[in-house]
Amino acid sequence: MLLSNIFRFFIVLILQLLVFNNIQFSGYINPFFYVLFILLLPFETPRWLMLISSFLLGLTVDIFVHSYGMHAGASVLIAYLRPYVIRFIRSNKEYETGLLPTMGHLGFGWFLSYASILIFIHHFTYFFLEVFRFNDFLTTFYRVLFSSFATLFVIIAQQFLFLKERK
Amino acid sequence: MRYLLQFLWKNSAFLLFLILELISIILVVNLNKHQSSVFSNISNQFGGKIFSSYSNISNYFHLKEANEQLSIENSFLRKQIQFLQFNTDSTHFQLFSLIDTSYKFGENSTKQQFDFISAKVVSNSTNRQRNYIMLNKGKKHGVRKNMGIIGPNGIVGVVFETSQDFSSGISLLNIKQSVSAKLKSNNELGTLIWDGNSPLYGKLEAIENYVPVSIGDTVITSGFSHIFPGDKYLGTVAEIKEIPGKTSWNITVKFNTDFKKLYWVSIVRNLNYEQQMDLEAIELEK
Repeated sequence: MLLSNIFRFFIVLILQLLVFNNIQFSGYINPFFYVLFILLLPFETPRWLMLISSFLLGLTVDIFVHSYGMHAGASVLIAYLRPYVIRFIRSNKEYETGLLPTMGHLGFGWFLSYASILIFIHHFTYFFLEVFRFNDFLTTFYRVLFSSFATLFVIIAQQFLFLKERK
Repeated sequence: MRYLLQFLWKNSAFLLFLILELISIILVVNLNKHQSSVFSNISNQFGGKIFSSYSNISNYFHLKEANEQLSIENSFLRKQIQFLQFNTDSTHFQLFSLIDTSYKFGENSTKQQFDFISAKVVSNSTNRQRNYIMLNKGKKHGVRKNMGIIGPNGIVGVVFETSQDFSSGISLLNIKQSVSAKLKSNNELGTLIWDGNSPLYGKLEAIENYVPVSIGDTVITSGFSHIFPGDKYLGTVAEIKEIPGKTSWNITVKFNTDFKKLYWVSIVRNLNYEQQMDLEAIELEK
């Protein structure tokens, strides 16, 4: 379990830097696929580990694209809010041990609302940290929306591609 | 004391969250000082290695476009050579010396001022507010901070950070970057900036609205900066608007360079950079 998460850390990092950072539609949309790592951490991950690993992931992305602190800040925020969001959505299944926050385990509806809330918070934080002002609010907000949809689309697609039903 | 520790332990997640967010915010705020950051030097060298091996692969898919760009640039340069030969031709040389008495052949006046280093783009972005571009030439090849970067179709950016084998430049598509520009038709000076919206358009500022401007006018570098040679293409005027209550135009410029399609660029070295900076420093002291 631990190993597969460490493995996923590097996979999402490489995919983000080499593939998704090169996808550019009209200068507005840039999917942040690496958020998937934070979304898929097991339920019983200790909170400090979740915060630190998300911080490190965000910071690594930052270092490569010269945006120090922006991805890190947004990632830490959703890592912190994740347990509350999970509690907020609630599933018809019990959160028992061995259950993972994936589409295969908890269903499409649950995963869609879970992912979209966290992705939106992440992108909102990132884009406003990037602009660092609230004038042109709408322009920035469009970028948040468009990019959130792009990220959500990619992440849902990944979930369908690697769909693992719970045994 | 025990209660305090207990309290801290209970809220450890929140405290850790606060600390990490604080670090992030400090990093974001200090971003403007990135020029001297040790951090980016390390990432430059390391990231450069990764990105360059990646771009080695991806470049195959863009060979056709890159070739086209280069051949267009070649033909343009050939035209320039012809023009220069024409100028140094003896009969015209006399004309020149009549007009401008300071023009002496073979003396300082014809000393080469700009030197060009060709470089490959290893990573580039257009979708952020502060976009950067990474090139595969570094200190080893003579690249220094504050050298200009010129693409086949015009100005691309300025080098801000170098490591042994790589250098990072601030792209023109960066809200912190501006270039001294002028209108080719009437030599009116302005500043070209990017507002962070479309990667295709920039803004030309500080052109007073008594100056006649028309759509399609060419915008070129002024040559007054120490970084770029003059008369390099920047773009064309795409839209002119009046700003209510202000005396300058709001001019939208379409960049001549397609920043999404940059494969090969030249780094411009101003051979007189130190001299010019020293002189300027003396001026400022007075």
